[in-house]
Amino acid sequence: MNLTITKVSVPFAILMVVAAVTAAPVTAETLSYESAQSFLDLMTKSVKSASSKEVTVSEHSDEIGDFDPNNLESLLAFVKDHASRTKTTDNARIVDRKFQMVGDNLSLCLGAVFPEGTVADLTVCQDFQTNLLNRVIVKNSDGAVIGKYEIK
Amino acid sequence: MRFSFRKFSLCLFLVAFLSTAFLPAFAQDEERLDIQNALKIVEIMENTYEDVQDYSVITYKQERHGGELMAREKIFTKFRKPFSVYMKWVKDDPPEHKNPNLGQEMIFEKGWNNNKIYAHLGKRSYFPAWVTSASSWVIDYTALDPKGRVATMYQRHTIDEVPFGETIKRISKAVRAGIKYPEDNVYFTNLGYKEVFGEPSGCIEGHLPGGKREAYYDDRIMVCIGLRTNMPTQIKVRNDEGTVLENYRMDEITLNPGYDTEDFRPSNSEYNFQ
Repeated sequence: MNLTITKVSVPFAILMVVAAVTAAPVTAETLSYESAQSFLDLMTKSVKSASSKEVTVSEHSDEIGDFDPNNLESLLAFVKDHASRTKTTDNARIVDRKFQMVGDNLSLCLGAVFPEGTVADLTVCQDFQTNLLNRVIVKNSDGAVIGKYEIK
Repeated sequence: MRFSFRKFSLCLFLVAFLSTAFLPAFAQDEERLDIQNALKIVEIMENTYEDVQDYSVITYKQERHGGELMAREKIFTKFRKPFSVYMKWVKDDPPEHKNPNLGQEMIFEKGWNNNKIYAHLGKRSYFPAWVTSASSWVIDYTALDPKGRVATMYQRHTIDEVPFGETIKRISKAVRAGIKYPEDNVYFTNLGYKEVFGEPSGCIEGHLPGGKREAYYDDRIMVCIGLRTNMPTQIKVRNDEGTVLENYRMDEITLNPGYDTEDFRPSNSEYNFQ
């Protein structure tokens, strides 16, 4: 084999980049379902006692699933169902989406990521002060928003 | 093997370009929280604490003294407004954590006992048993000056800095100073969700110019606030080198359990002051 510097250096350079990319940490921290459970429990308690349960639906695709997007409890059930699916679906995971503003309300958000299916990405937020579920965003595998729901 | 400087240089450039072009995009950047949102967190704590008359908490405390991170202490605390505190050093998780002051109890109430701490030492301390036993001949532990040497030995905070209300005030001061003085370049990182002893919490970390103003307690202060209670569940203080100076984690926070005077008197039959 006629070795040249080019034949050695270029593959080496590509290897370095691949190594750097794969060694770099994932941007969103993965959480266990168990550690997200207490987040969901608080939200459930708050939804049960919420005085106003009106959901503002900005986007909703029927392909997301069979639930009533205008009903807060139905929306919560959809969220909890998908959260629990991360336990049984390979490569599905719960991620930390951190503090976000939902309108004027500081909120803490988690997400769920699925490798397959209509729902590829789910973001769920709860009002930091009241624990009330206040935002759900659903995206498909192309990253397009196919469901967006807010509770004020 | 044919060697060409031109090709070698081109390859080196390719390596350098790819490394610098792609690495930053995949590196985990520190996500900053708008300082106004840090203020919202403070206001949530302040508003919640306004409605708290009393509370209990178990605190896991670790502080650095003389360059050494001391053994963890586990402390059960009762607090009642305006200012009554009862603390008991309780059993931790041996063998790793033996609680160096196990059994120690203290009471402090502003306006009672001449504003002195009423205490007794526990079975263990940083000193041998004969030292702590002999010390009671010369030190009146039932009338300790809260700011005196005995009460503040191996403590980074005096008793009046301990309650939630005072902790919230310190955080509030730092945030508000950061807003008032933008030239101080105070910023907060959005650490997001964390469970502290199973308590779902949201965490932020303040990056402060530690020595610049009295309002800035130190250089880096991580605060986790419980979703359930809106009270701090963890405070971790570090210097600008990242060395941990203080780490407090709070567990079993109970707000408004309804304490009365007897909860802050040594005559309480559940206490071991006699």
